[in-house]
Amino acid sequence: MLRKEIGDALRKLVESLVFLVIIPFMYIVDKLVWKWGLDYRSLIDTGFVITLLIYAVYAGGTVFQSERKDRAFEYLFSLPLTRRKIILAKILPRLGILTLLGAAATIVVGRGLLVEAGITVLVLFFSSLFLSIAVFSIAINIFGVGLIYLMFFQGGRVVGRFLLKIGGSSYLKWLVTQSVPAAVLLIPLGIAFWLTFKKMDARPLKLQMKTYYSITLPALFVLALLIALFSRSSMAGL
Amino acid sequence: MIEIRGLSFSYGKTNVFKDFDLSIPEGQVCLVTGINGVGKSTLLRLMAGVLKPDKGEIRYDARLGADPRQKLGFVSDALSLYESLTVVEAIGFHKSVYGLSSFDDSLVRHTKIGYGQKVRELSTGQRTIFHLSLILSLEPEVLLVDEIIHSIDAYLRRLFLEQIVQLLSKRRLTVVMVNVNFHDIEQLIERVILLKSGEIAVDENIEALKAKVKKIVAQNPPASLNILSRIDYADYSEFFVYPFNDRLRGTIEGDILDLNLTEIVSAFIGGEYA
Repeated sequence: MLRKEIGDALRKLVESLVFLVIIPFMYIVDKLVWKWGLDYRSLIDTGFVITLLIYAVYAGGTVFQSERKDRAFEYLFSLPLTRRKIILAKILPRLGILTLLGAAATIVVGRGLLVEAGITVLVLFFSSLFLSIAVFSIAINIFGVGLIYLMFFQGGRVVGRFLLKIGGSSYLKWLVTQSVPAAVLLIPLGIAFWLTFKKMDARPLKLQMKTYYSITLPALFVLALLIALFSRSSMAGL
Repeated sequence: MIEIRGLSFSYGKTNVFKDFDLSIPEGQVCLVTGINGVGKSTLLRLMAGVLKPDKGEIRYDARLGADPRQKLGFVSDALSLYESLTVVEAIGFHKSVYGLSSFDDSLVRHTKIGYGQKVRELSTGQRTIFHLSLILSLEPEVLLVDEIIHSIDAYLRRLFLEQIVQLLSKRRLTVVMVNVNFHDIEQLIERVILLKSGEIAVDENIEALKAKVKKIVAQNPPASLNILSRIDYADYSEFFVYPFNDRLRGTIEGDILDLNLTEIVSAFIGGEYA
């Protein structure tokens, strides 16, 4: 099981790395047509960061792709594997490769990229993973991840404004502004994902999404409302 | 032993089973039959663990271990496998999940399946045999066979059934089959279970069933006998009756004929469509 999932995760990595191929092309376009003034080095840095973000979303969103494409859910559920084993076999190789890619990108970019973007990458990976159980299309998944990322970003700003009033180290403040909205967003999504997957069987998926939607939709609605309210009040306070 | 107690299952708002009970002793070969959509394949999927009951439980003999799926072979009509894997990759995957050290590929070689072929490139017959060879590698204690063997050619069907016969001769294998070709398997079947509206309408030993279901060829319907179904011709009719009692033989007008398993099942199913 693990070997197959490592193979799947590596295939997704190769597909994501294709993005890097367009960097020399962008450089040529910059020099000959648009003249943005970007040097090759900064293009490579940007390319690696974008590739990391693409892989995070792609690896998370395609976690059930082989079961869907191959209609193999019935086979998977007939195997003597617990749901915990299945999900760990799917998540661990993807997280491992994501970490290696992050480390490689950090070496290339030469700054603390993994530290700076680590939580964002995890938010993208896990939100994409948690949406993947209900969303078949990777395009819709990306759209959903985009919305969740906006909430994460806006939530970070709200938390950041509150922290302005409190003293303490700036690194700790930064960590809180990243991890609090990440946890608040990912915990309900993760619970909904796990409860749905734990009970999942070979029935059509649309018949099994009641728990998922009954947790995620109210949670995301309430969180979006809270972020909007706090954004307004903290803006007024400033 | 397979013990089903208080099983309830539905697809959305469509109830398939409600408080369903069934017990299958170890080593028995059962045929589950009934009209289309009655829940035969659903019952098999529930027994295989690929569907989860809404209520109730399905218990297996303790010797099958904590996870009975380790010793349970399910040949589904969906022939679900990872289609994008090659045959050799699918074998490797199966071996790793079940912790098998070897794989008997004699069946695969019989059907000229290429190891480098993708599973999705295999014909239905080849896939069925490949699926069976994967299942046989587990040395299953319980075998659940859906009606897939209708859709494979005569040679592969014979090969498939030969494997099951061989397996039955080696050990006390519990087999539950759904609507398979009765001509091929009649000699294997010990018990027939007919499902109707999510309940067991008939549950009989094969010999008892053959004694109780008869065809009466006559001009008028036999009085005091329950007619399952009938076929009318110009000057006579065929009446399929159940339960038939041998003591009534002298009192019935017309010819009383024995039926084979296919005719018995057709009589029951025909009665439901009538």
